[in-house]
Amino acid sequence: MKMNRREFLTSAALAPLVTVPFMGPAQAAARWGRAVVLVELKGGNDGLNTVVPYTDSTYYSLRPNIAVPKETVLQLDERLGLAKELAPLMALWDQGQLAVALGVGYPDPNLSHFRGIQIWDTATDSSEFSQRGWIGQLYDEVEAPPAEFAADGMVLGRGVFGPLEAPGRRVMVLKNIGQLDAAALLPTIAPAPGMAVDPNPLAHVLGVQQDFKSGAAAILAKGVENVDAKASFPEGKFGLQMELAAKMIAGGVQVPVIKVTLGGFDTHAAQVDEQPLLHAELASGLSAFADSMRGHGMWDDVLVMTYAEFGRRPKENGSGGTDHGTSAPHFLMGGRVKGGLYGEQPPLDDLVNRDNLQHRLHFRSLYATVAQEWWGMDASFLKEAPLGAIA
Amino acid sequence: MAIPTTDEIHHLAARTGLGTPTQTEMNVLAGLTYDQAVDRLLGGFTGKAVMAPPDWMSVPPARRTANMTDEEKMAFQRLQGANSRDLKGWWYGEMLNTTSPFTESMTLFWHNHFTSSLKKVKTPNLLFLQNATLRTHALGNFGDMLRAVTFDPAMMVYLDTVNSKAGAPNENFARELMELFTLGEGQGYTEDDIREAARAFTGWRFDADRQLVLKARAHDKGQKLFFGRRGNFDGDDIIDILLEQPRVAEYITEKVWLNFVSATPNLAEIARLATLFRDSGYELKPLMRAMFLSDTFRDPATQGTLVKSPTDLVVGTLRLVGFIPPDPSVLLAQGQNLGQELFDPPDVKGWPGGVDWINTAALPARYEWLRSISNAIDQVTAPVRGGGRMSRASRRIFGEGLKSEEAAAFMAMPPALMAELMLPIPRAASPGTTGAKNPVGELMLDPVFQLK
Repeated sequence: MKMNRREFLTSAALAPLVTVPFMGPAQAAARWGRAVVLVELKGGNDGLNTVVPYTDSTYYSLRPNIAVPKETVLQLDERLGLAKELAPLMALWDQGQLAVALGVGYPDPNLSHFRGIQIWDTATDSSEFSQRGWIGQLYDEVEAPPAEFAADGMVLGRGVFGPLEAPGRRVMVLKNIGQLDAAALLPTIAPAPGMAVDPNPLAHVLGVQQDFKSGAAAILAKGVENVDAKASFPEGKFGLQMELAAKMIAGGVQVPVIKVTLGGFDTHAAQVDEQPLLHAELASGLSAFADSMRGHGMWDDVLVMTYAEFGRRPKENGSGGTDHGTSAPHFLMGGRVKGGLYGEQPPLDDLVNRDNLQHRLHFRSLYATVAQEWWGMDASFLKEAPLGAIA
Repeated sequence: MAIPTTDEIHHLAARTGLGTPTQTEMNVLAGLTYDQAVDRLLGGFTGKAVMAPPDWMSVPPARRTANMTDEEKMAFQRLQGANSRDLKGWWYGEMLNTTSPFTESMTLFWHNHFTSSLKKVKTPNLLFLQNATLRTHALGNFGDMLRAVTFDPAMMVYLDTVNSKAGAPNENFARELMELFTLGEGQGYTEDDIREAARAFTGWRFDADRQLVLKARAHDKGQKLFFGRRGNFDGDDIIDILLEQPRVAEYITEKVWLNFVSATPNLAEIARLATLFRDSGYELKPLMRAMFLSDTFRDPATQGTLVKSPTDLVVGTLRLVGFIPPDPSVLLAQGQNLGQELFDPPDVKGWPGGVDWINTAALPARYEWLRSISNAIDQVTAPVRGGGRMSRASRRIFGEGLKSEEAAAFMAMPPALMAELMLPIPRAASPGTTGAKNPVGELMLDPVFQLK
């Protein structure tokens, strides 16, 4: 159950104010001129066939039918390499602008898609429940983006807020630019007095209407539809999302976080037919985005980070797929990213919790990297140290 | 016995139907007591579709084979794509034409519970059969439905029961069976229970005639430990054991409550209804009856507190105004724009619903859809250029015009009565600010029309 904005206002007015105190010295304002693009690999990307331990014989014995052949791997070092469909990312790796965080997970992992992504989205411990996304928490507890920004966050494609979920935050969901033309036709309606039904979806409708009108006006004012992407994006929904993200940023739309989604990673069966296509789509979309940002001289102002609800089981199942697992590698990229490997590859000969990978990096250390190193904000509420991956 | 108020009957008809009752739906319930009205709606449940199945259901589905040429493969994909669109159009047609919208809202509820998607299953024939199965059981017995869906071909493809084999079972179905279909995440089962259940569901294959068969050699006949019990369990045994768990009735009752009554769970009421549900042996009709008769459902403060689904807003509105699009692709496009593609839920958990239906992408799309209906109404009601005819663009979307006398009577209704029929609670927009040029449009474009 999520609170709508009316409920939030009501409960905020009635309940004694409980806020988490801001720890640490007062800081200068966050660097809001820098954008973050969050890329959700929905379904749970299989990490071992993404960053492949190509010299590990255990890997090949656990996956007799679906392992990535050693000779096709794009080597990152003498033990690990990317699946060949991720080739477009190798240019970034060679330029030292791709960080690969290894073994990203958390203690006592949950193997449900929905509980898993909730834990990731809300930056909670496995046994802790929250409705607020980690970006929303950062805004509420440390610093919120300037009010004149077009929105507090933008979600392209599938309209699930995830990390941006927080009462009262202005989140712009966009499928395409053409959609913004509808803004002029929306009636201007003041909330009727006496709307106190709890929960009150009418207040939600009116709030969304307002967010859309103001966000659309800010985006249209920048002429985003006419921005030259200066790169060639791949066909498909993901490519379109990355292109739209690039145009937003290049066009100067002020928004700190853009969330995009690539789905289909829940490869329980016939993984070798599905995952390589997704990898190709992912890598070409990300690489085009990097080209676009470079073309606009903005590659130093963006940080791209992948995430997912979980990784997958090291041992393949009998359907040529992999079931839900635990930790997985994730990518950070951008002009200021210090490329390289972070954390370490979890050992395949020391599996835990019923044949699953241990984790080596807490996922919140990636979030701390965004909050502290990228935006210069206090990230103590995340309770993990940043990676040291931003120059 | 007291005759209920119009508001009360409107609330009942809107919540059990497709968001906005038509005058005919209201007329059916006129003059009845509230209890009689509930029984009339429940009694109108058919469990069967009124529209004929798509033509391609009468022939065995085409199959993709390994030795197809590239051209044959493309032709095959085109056929599947066309049949998939046809299937979606068929359900829209059913919803537009049925005299029991309650049958459709129950079937849609279960489609969102026992999800399967064309994107994964690919064969539209199997999804059509699954829809028939859900329809049959939608107001019947939950245990029977759970068992039917467990061994339903589309579900077996969707969650990979097919081809799961002894020794290396596929856990996909076993996990969602407990997490989403019966108990709820983290509710009394363990990762070991998932693994043991997965073993019990191994061995299913399609034979040469595309019939499901249990292959003894691929089925794990060994002893399993499931919910603390040992036995050589098969899939039926796993379902039996799950149905013994008291949590199942609570979980299902809560989900029904959230969909039909309120986004706020009333725990005491849900516990009471769950007990009734369990004691009945999972009969859905008494559960739904008790829910519609509950104090919370009947509380006037409950009216207008749920968000209409995209299907409500597309189909319910067309039923209300009496337009039937000649080409169902219009409906498919709206389902996509508004965020609910039938037979293609976003993931195994289904559409989140509630206030999540409304975001900055969906809301303008909703208004745009309603505005196009309002414009078409202007064209049929006001004599424009040649009189009372819609423009070609509107005709393509909405057909030749009003389908019946009833619709014409609706258009001519006095504003106060019209508002009573169209809105669950009083207007939010100040009159004249919506930009609509006719009274129906004026009410459709009020934010309150988004609610039921």
